[in-house]
Amino acid sequence: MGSKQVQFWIFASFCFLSFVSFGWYQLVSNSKITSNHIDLSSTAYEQVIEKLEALTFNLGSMVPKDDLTCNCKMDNKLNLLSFEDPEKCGPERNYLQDELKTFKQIDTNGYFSGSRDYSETAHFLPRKCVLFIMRKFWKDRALSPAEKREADIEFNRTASPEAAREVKDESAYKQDPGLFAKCDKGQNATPERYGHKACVSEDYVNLVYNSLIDVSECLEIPPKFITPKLSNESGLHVNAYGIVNDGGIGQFTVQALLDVAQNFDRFKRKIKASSNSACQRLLAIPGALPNSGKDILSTDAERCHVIATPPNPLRSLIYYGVFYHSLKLNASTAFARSSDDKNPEFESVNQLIQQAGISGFDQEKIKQMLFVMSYNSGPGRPVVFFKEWLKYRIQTLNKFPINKNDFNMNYWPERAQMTAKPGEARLSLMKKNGVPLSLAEYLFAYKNSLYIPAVKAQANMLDKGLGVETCTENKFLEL
Amino acid sequence: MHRKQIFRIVIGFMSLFAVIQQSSGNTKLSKNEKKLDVYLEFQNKVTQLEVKLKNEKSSLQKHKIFLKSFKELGKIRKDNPRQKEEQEIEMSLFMDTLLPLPGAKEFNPKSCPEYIKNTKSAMKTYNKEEKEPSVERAIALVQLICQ
Repeated sequence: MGSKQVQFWIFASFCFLSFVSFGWYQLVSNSKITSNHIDLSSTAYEQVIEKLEALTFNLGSMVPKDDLTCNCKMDNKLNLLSFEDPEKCGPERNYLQDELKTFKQIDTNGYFSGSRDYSETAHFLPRKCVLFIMRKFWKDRALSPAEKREADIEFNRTASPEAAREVKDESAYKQDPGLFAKCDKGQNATPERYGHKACVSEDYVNLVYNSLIDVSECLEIPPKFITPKLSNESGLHVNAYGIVNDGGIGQFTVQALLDVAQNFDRFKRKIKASSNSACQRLLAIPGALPNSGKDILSTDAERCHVIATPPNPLRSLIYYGVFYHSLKLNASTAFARSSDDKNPEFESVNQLIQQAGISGFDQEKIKQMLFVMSYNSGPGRPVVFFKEWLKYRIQTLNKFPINKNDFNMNYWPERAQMTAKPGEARLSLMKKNGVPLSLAEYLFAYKNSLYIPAVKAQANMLDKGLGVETCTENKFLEL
Repeated sequence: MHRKQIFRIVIGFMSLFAVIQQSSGNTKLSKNEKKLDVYLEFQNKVTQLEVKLKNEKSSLQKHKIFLKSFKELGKIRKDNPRQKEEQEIEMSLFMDTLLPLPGAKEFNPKSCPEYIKNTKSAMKTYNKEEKEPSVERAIALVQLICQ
């Protein structure tokens, strides 16, 4: 070997060692500067591996992936949620793709149509709650009678004899209702009823989640309170369209939109005056906030106003925020009413609670139940029903004192009871053997209302699928 | 005391007891016979009130007539046993829909549009299928007073 060759190898080795030492120093010093937590790795080797992995992760994607685990099976994957691939959804379920692209065009900063660091808002409401709800809602495809019959035959091929379904004549099957809408003709158009759910792609979920989080933050609405309710109503789908033309993510009816219009201007002023970054982002989307309450279109024929995207789901969620606050105020006022000048026999909720011996119960939780019911029945009626239930229960207090089970909302009636007419006919099927009805049973027996148990069931589904209180509040709808 | 005297006293007490028992039974029976159908009475009183209001022109006078009947409605419910639950709910919905209408001191016919608006708002529903005729009847009553 010549001296030049030796020199070359010495120089090359020196360069390599210098490079490795410099890299090593960089990794160690970076870890000291950026890491605020105690590193529990036992060896320097493990630390280097971790740092290299972190480096690779950060280089690989600018946004860290959030947790998508669940106690569920989705798309044949156990314990992992997944987005739907638009290429696999097929043309009949890809009808929102163009609208999502249009939203991207008007959302020049990508506030709502882009992705964010979802780990930052996970404590508020994890993104997987929205994905889970959107995927679980109703059915992906509305089936025809022939398809339903075929599905029963297919099911029986692998089912045990006990679980086998009765395969009836095609005429005995009903067409699934179209619970979604298309608003291809724009925001002021009449929705066209449609049977299939839009493809739950990552872009679609991000748009809904980003909108929900920003509206919740700007208008100070607890997201874990409204999530089970929205899950029950629209499954967080921008184009949900109920049987009575209740439309959009907030499932607005004429009366609800009139209420929003009445209160809208006050809230718009607040949003405009706010320095909160979430409020600023809402203002950046054209049409999300109409000029004034007078511009809110409320008739059934104009329901695309709260369905068409853009600017929905943002507009519909802002309306939902306005509705939440005005309804809460009205429901609280009805609950707190203490007298009636015209009627000396008037009994307030508070008086009846005292008489019923339940003043020690958490009244905020009771109020919360009635507030949830008022989304459907309005702010006044649930208080009347509750007072009547208290009067009914006061009669049997000696034998059956009221306990927390009387407020149990984990209730669902049997099919036969549901088909019976509300009132004495339905009561006779409820077989209580003299035991008084709970609040949930009373509301079902006499007012045909299962709204609170339905929202509670959604909360239970979320707790079971994604972990207790991941998407719901602590002790939601229970004492 | 002689045996016969004791026997007479015992027989006397027993007869007295029997008479008391019978009379209390009769009282119960007469109460049952007179048992008021509160719901029917309530509906009749509202119908009578509607007729009276239609025959009166002054809103102030109408309001006075209304107040008298409204008080009576509260009293017959209070003085009588609870009726069927559906009927109780219906009567309460009717009365509570009228909560925004003020008493004698505050009533001002000029504020009628506000009373009508607030009455409509008191028991509004967001569920189109949730029809309550008693709520509609109460709203119509306020409109009658304000006509």
